[in-house]
Amino acid sequence: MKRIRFLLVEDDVSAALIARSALEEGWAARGVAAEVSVCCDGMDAIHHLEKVAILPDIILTDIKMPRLDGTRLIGVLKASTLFKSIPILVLSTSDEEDDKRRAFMGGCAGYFVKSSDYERFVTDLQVITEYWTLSRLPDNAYS
Amino acid sequence: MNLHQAFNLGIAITYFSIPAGLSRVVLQNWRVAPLLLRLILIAFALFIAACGTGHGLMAFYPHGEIVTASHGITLLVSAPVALAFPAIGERLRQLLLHNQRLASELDQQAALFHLFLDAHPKLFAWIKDERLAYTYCNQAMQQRFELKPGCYDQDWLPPDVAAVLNANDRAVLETGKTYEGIEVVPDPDGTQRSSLVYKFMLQVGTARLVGGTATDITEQERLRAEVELAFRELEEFTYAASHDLKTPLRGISGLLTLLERKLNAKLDDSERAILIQVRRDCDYANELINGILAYSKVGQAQTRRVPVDVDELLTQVCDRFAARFTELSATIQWHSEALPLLSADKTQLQQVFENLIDNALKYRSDAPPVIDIGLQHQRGEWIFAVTDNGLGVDPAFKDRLFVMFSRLHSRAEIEGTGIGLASVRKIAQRHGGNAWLESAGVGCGSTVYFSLRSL
Repeated sequence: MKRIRFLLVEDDVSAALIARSALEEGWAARGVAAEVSVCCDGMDAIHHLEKVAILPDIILTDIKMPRLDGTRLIGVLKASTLFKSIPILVLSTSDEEDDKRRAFMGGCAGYFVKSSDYERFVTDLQVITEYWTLSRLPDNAYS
Repeated sequence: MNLHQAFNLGIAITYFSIPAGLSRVVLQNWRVAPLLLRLILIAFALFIAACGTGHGLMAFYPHGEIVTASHGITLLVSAPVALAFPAIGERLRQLLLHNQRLASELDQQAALFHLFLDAHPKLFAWIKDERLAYTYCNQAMQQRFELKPGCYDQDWLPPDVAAVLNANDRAVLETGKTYEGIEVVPDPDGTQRSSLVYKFMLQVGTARLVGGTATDITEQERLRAEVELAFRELEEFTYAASHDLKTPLRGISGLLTLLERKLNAKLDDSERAILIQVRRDCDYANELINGILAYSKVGQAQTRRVPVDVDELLTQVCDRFAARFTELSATIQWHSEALPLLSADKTQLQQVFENLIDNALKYRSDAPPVIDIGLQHQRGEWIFAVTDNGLGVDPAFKDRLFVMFSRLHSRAEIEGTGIGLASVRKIAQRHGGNAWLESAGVGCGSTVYFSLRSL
């Protein structure tokens, strides 16, 4: 079975559970196994990336988190030669102009306001993650 | 010339000097002297002049007919004066008495006026001249600040404070318009005190003066600031609480969906009913929190008034309801040509219409809903009227509807949170207006009015 690796940075356990389930469900329908690692904030995410053998295909991050928030995480990763090529999608509950503007200025690949409707959330997540998988790595997207 | 002639001539000359002097007095005081006084003086002058003429003639013609004729003329002139004198004298006495009374009344009024201004327990009162020197200060002011007439604000106040006060004074002198505002002046002990101050122009002849009064409102201002702070804190709390509650609720709702999907096949009907009820409660909690959040956002955000095309806004709002309008065969109407460009906060005005149209559709009667939106301009306010043919409201309850969370129907009958109309009223109030409801009773439809103060 093909695989796709996600790093999900989210401090809310329930939200992480739901997003993980939605990602797995969406990609399973495509015959792809989604492997989702969850980190609880930006610091945790950086430590995780530094020690994993295979980097994730896509990083999904929340904005408001303790220690290192999403906006600053984007800044750190985009400044690093090792990690800057991984597309980062913001997965947020905030529809504030300010949050969106700062995330894009930092270099996020997309900004995605979570739908409270689960079915729609699955579809939306599938569409946007698939787009970034295909557009970035056409050769070994599903390694 | 003998002694007889010399004396008579002397008397004649002296006599003539009297009418000369009198005519000068009369002419000089022509405008101010009462007519009666002028007539008396003229008659008296003629009488003396006649006497003088008599004495002059007697010097040269001691026994001639000319002297006799002269005496006759003197008698003719003096007789009316003498006859009129008792009446004239009485009238003069009255005039003088009247003047005296007037003067004493004025004195009394002035004294009373001073007493009034000095007895007031909380009032500072003063008058400044055109150069902004004090010409009058009431006792309270003299004592508190050791002020003396003739001094300037710069003499007793820090320069920056004096400059502010004088700028207000000058504006009054230049425009003639009354100033009403709060001036902050330090007490002699240095504590800052706020006063509600009125300054107004006093026109005295050609001179212009500035009158002023001040009442200490330091304590009221302090209380107002406290209340404002408490109110702001409460609004911030409401916003933060509802915002933060959304996160766990979203979690519950999402996890519930996961559970539903995973369990669906394994559940029997009674178990599924429980899950459905949990889902309903969850959705209701979410609706409540969104309502509170929307309500508190009205308080949090600055109300930014911009020109709003009401016709366009209503069209946009109705587009959102299109599906429900079709489902319920509802119609809505307004007179586009009567709707102006209105200065209002667009998001908030949209929120108002969304709430009111949603209510009209929700609280409908059996007939297809018909909504009419009207607008009129009255006493500086734009008043919207949203009329429906829905359930109507018992007039006894019409005010309760605008209180947060209050409802007239149970959720089992009609879903709702009781936040909509509270938000409408708050938005109207943020625009200097209000919101209210009129209904002839249950079954008669209702009209919600909301007003915005026009800028």
